[in-house]
Amino acid sequence: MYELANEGGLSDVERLIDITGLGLNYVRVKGESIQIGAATTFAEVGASPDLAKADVLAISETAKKITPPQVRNLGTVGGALCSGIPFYDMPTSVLALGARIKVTSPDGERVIESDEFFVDYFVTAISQDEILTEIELKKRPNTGSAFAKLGRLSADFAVVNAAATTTLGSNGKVEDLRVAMGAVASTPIRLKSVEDALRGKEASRDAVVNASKAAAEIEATPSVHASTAYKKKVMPVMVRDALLSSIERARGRSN
Amino acid sequence: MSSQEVILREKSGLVGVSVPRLDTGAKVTGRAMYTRDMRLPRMLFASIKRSPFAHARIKAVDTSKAKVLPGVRVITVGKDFPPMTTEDTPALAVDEVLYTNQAVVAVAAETRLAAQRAVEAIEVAYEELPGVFDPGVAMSAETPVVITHPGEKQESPNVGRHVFLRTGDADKGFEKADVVIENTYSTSMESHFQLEPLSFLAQPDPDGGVTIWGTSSGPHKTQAEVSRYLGLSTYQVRVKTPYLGGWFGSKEESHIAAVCAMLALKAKRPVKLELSRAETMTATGVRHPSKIHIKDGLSKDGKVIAREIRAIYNGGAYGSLGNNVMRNSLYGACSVYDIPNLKMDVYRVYTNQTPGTPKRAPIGLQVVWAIESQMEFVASELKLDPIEFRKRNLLVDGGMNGLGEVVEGASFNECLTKVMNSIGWGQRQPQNGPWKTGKGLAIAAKWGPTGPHQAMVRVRENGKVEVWADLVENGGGIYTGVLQIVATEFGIAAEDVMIMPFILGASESATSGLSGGASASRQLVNVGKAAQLACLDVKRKIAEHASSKLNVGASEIDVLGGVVFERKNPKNSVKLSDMFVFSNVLAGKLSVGAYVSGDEFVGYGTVNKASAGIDTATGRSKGGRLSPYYIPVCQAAEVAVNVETGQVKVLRMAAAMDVGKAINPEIVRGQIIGSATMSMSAALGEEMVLSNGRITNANLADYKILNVLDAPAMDPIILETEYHNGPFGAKGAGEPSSLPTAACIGNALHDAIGVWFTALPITPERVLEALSGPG
Repeated sequence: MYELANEGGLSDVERLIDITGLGLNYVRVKGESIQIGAATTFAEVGASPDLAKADVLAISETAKKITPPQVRNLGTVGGALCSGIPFYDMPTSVLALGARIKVTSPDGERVIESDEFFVDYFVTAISQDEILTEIELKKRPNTGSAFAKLGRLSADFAVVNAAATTTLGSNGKVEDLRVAMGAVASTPIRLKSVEDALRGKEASRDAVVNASKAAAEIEATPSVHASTAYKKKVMPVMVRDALLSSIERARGRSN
Repeated sequence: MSSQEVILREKSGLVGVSVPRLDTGAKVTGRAMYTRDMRLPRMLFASIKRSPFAHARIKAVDTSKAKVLPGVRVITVGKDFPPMTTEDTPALAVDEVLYTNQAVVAVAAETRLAAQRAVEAIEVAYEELPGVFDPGVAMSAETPVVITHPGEKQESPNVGRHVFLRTGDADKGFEKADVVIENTYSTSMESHFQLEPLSFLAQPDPDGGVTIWGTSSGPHKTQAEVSRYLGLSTYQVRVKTPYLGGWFGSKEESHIAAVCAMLALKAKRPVKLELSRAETMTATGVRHPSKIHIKDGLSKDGKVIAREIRAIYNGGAYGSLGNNVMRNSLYGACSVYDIPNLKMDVYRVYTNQTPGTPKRAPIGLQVVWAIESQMEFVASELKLDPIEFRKRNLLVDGGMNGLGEVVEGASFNECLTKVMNSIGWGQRQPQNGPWKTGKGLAIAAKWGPTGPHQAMVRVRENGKVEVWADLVENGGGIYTGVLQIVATEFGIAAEDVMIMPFILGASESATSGLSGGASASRQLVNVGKAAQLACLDVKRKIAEHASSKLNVGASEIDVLGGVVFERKNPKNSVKLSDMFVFSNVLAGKLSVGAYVSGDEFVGYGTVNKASAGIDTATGRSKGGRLSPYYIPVCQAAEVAVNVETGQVKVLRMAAAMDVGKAINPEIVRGQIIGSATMSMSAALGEEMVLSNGRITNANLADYKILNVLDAPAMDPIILETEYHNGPFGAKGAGEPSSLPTAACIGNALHDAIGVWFTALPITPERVLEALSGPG
């Protein structure tokens, strides 16, 4: 790196600050919440027993699906969120879980709801003088969460990804849910039409397949390797897979 | 086979043995030196200003602001080079740019950053001109642009090369046919995507010449081309090719080396030019996109009695090596099936795009994709078993192929049997949810190169044998293959052979005889054979010297295992080391003994495979071989397709290849696996996306190359039908199994989901489109 800098090979970078020593890599349970330090690597997230619970499983499932291992060992949850890159995987799951995102500045700490966090391509709600310090998840009973991804290659960015958190009522029906999708707009997005179509309904495969169809209404941004028309065909499939898996997990917990 | 070879073979321990590769240790420990690693004292860094337009007139180049920037040493433009006299890409554009990212001005400065800043400060005024991108438009009368080059005569607009073949009478064949079936197949523009981007390091030499270390396919080729670009004598250009970090044809173009050399000569200092990944992808050559129309006339019993092929290759802006490989289209189309009436026309058409260059078995993937997809389609239309249909049409030994060459070594049936057994042909897996599976198969045969190739060996007083030859280690294991041949000829251990390019860290034009470099899987069969002949040559010399000592004629004497002996009476012998004279070269206490040979025990070998010549009226051979040999290969794939997402997974592949003789079976298997997986990536993922001639996905995120997790289980199978003119019967192994992969995957997809694919790559999107039917 030094040699490269010396020969002028790092033209756009003036200063690099190493934040790995700030003690921000942890996963801890505090009462009804699970806190993930911003500098926790995907590998650490994937290995955490506290995140291996049905209601928050989407997070560790996402971390495990990120390839290759070199990225899992160096990439962090906070980094994935701060990048503002809409086709990353972790932001979709964080949004589907309705996480609270803590940022810190010289003026103190503030919390940004995940619904407010993603603003535009490469733009988040973090200000210039703030750093992301923690992601907080809420424990929820009778709840399952899951992540589904379609890439062109086995180790690849998402063409489309989806995540879902589903809470079942005592009657077995869908009491509440959050569904999010990535790589289809300038930020990861909530799919409220899918949520509305399934809320209060039977948690059956037919109901899920039916509700997932609403995902195709999104005019997904095309990319070099996937047109809007193609994304419209596969979005309902990814949403369906995430929902079905989240319901299975919710049942596993309620049983 | 000579009796001598029989004796050697019995004694040999190393031919046919998977000797560990000579270069493995250096590569796995990171010690292997590539051009990118090299540094010289007082070295400058180069950077290139490139065209933002696909076609434009250069009105003015203003370097005044760049010249005065700190650290900038020299700037060179196209007019500094002698005018071009050929259709090749110029070192730097003069007056006109013909494709986006074409090199226009080059700078050398003290740091990379200073060179980049200088490039940004150079102002080039362009007048943008209309471009032509579709070869169909380019070769029509309506073309908006006619691209011509010095010394070139075009038979029609933008046709850089037209090759053809007329065998039998195709028109009469179609008249006799019971069924006629036509289809058009296409392939996309691909990058070679070798791991190592292009890099050069040039150093001015005391005689006004230049030494170039670089990512070149062959030192002698680069030497000849760079000397022409610079107006120097051939021998003032010395080229050294260190290890190549992958190649596949991507390093054929010498104009980039010429730019680096010019900067070094002007600066009178060493200059390093390291192209970025994007530059390597957009401005050093691509695989030719193709459109191939096939019309087959068939009899009811499944014989192809007439075939017409019209193939159009998008050649991009310059001839380069692309024009010269167009005949491969004919070799690829005539090497498997016995078709009495053939009419082929192949066009390479100029457009305002990155020039097409050879990529692994150049032009072969395109031809075989088209033919083997067509064979499957035809079999299906005729309701014939696709294997049986192919078998009815295969060439057999002693017959004559469409080019007028006698068929030899056509082991297609054996190859077929091997892969069918391996893949479990005819057995279907249970179908699982949205994933449907299927199996497919395809056949091809790869042609071989002609031309002169040389090698020299020197026997040392300690029994070691040096090999001096142009051997480019592009990853194919050539150092080890030649080592095994030479060790076998002398009956010595691997450690006693000194492959000089390995020891010197590069293949050098200055210390080796002629070779065509690494292209066309030519090194083992040609330079390897030359090395074998050089061994025989030096052994003859040693025998002549030993004749008086052993009291027998030289022809009765052999040299093996460090002993010179009478073949019929091996006890009548002398140690090889005793053939040398011992003398003290230093006096006094420090005196050491040194061996000095009584004669230089040096042997030379040359292999010169000439083409028989082409009949200008028919495109056929005038009589004799055009391709010295063909390498049969048959491949089968099992795929799984997701009908909801269009994803394709190749579960297994089997490839059987007849290499003549596997000098090192493990290396051959590696080449089979590498070729097949590379073409699998071309079949399913790789595609340069263009917008008005500009490549828009020249990065790893947007250009999809299948990776190790996508690689299937692979069964590489070696067959050996000895080739009389190869070392110990060997042909080559580096390319053939890149040929049938795409078609066997396409055919497997048809088996799985019942739809036909005619365009590569077969992306998930195209799979869903095909499944939902037309419209």
